[in-house]
Amino acid sequence: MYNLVGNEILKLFMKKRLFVVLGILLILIGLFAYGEQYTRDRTEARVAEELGIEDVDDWREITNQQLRDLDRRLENPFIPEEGRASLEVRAEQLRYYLEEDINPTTFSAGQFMSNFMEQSIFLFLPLLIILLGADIVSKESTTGTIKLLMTRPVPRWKILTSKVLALMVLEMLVIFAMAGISLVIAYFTFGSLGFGEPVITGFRIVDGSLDTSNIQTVSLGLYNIMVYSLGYIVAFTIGKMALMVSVLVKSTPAAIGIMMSSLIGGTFLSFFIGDWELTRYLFNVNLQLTDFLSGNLQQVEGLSLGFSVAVLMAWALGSVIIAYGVFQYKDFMD
Amino acid sequence: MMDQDIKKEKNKRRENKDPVLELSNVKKTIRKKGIIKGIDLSVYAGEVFGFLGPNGAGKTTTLRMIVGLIRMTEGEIKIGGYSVKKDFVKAMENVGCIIENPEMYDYLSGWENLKVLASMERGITKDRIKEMVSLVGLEKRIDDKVYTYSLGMKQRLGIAQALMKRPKLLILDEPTNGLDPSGISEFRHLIRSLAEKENLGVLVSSHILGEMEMLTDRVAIIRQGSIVKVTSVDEIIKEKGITYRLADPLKAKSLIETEFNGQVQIRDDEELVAFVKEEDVPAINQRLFSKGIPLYYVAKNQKSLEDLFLELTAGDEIV
Repeated sequence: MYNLVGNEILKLFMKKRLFVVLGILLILIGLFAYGEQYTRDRTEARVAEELGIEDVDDWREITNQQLRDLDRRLENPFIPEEGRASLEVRAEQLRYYLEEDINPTTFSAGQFMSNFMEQSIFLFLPLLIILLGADIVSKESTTGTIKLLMTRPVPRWKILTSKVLALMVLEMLVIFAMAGISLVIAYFTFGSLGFGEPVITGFRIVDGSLDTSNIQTVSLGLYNIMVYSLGYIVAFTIGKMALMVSVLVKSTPAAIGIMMSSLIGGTFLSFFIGDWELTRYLFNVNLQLTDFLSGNLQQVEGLSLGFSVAVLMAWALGSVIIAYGVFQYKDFMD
Repeated sequence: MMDQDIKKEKNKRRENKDPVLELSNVKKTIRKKGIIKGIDLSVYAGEVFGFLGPNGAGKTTTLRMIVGLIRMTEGEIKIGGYSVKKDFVKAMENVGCIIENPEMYDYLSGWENLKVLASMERGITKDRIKEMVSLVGLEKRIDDKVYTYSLGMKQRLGIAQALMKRPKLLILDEPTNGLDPSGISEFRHLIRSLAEKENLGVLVSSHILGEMEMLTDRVAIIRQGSIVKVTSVDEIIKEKGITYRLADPLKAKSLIETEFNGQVQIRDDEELVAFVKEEDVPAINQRLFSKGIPLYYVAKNQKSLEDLFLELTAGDEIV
């Protein structure tokens, strides 16, 4: 089995796809870091201008400014209900930081890292995993090399298992690459690691308002480990689904297309018919696992971390069962 | 008639050894349509067995069932005595194959390809891989990526990959596709010598008849999912006959029949076809001469595998 997994990993590394993904990560994280720096500079400058001071060192002033911005936006009567709720939650969070004397505006590499994963977890991370996973069987079908594999004295399930394991290693690698690249770029951009900073987590949304009864303070380092672990859960699920599609269709572009459209289509669906009870069992609406840590308002009400992880695991398990079932009895006709 | 032929062959060979490949009543049905309608055949160690038929007759489907790429609906396939259905791993340990094009991982080098595939088998040493590389003459290019290879080189790599496990049975699907003439003749010599020296059973499919005639010991002709005839190439060649164009066919007929023990068919008043041994032809010519029968020309008949094939497949399209 080790040799089979080793072979699969060798193949994954020798294909250019992995390096394309790493390249995309590098470029995107660079842009993201630059954008973050730019926005922060602008906010500081604006605050400084409004307060008529030269330099802004007091985070309270900046936070107050952000609060005022939020309040101003909330006064706008044309904001839809859902948007209003999310702004209110954000405002409450800021008030909480002020009361507890915790600085939410300091920006460190650690914060950037967790921000980046929080922003990527529902779309960008799945896209990367789809790019890598959708061709793991379909490419061998397209190029015909599947025949080489299937005519070895190795049972079919072992061949698929080696691919599943190799893909899991790759999912892990993508998570580590995201963490590593964002850490290095952010460290050079923002100058401090900040893993010791306290972060507040455990916010819950109950009936559209913020429930702070369960909040905890953790270090930013630990918070990052939690965020990236949740990232791996998403990568794991999407990876298994991509594997299934890769078994079901012969062409890699078709596999990527199917996965991308279900990812994006499902998100749209949940956005438009979010009231419908069934949408909460779509994998799409359960991808934003990090929101349960950071306290962002969920698009679909009534979700919890446990529920979302359970739904994702169910999707992963279903995908794996279908993949094995089909692969085991498939006829390789051409 | 067909079954008797097969049984006779089998019995003759079984006296010496067991077949390395045995198909009994193999059927494949897809959506209630019979693609393969019950195939029986055996391939023995040391023989090159041809599988001949027009495109779409079921050659590739049958070969894919033998190597487990397609599951059979009914019947039994045994390789080296192991059932492909029940004992897949053991059966596959005895077979090397190239199914259709010799596809390899083109982003890996030739050597990496062989190494990856060898690691999935038991007991293939580095020396064995090297031996195979030199057997197919790829030493100089083996470290290059496969996408830089020509089709011929990929074909050689495919053969190295199929042979490195020392299989008892080698399966080649349309092996000479894309090879140039010198490559084809080299390939033919390699396959024949492997069959003879290493006692390898070889199953080759093709629609190129001349190729099969030179390469195989026996052929099965398949048409619309059934085997129409299993025959040896020797028999076909024997059936060919010699055309004589001469002045007095009747007289010549009795001469050939009595003195050379051959069958003669008179075509018209100036032509006959004699089924005689080729080595007797000079002597026959001399006798005709001395009997004073004017001889216009003598020609070896072109009746060949191709004629037989066309007869049996009744004009199905051959591409």
